[in-house]
Amino acid sequence: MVEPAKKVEEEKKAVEQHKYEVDEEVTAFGVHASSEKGIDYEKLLVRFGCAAMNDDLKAKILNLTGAKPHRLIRRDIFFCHRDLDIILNRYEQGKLFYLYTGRGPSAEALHLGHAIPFIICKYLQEAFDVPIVI
Amino acid sequence: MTDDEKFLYRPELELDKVTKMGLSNIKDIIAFGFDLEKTFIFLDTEYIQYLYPNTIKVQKNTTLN
Repeated sequence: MVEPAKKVEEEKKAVEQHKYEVDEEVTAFGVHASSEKGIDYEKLLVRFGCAAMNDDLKAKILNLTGAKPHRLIRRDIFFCHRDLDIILNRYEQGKLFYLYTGRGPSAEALHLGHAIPFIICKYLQEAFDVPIVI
Repeated sequence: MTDDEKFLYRPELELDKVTKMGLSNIKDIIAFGFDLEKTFIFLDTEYIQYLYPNTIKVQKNTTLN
């Protein structure tokens, strides 16, 4: 049997999770936080099936490329990833990979926000010496 | 460059205009300094080519049900 206090705690958690799912919206088209504290990145990781960037991965990049990871990675601007560990393991075994990114055309010129993914792609292309398709 | 997607998603935009913005954005992207030998940049409407630009113009004016 579940203890009453524990049950209350669980219900509280469920309500919180529901509130989060209903109110917090993060899509390609808009970002909306459910509380004044802003986006809950811990929950965002779970929701998008991401894993946190960690020191082991950064050390592995240093090891494989012979240089410190890009400053955007070192400073945790890129705070999470999906399957980066798998790609690094493949690279370690001498297997090939390539980068694939893109943009929906917007206005005549890009702005600084658009630059972030391209800066990191340029870094990855250079560091791992791989092809990129844009 | 997904000029086709942007064209379909934004009702007010003409295809010519989106394609032009795409080409302009590509110039900005080139400026990041990618490796010329290992970089391939393409525009959806141009790369799929043939009937595609006309296809999406029709698609935009057709309901899905």
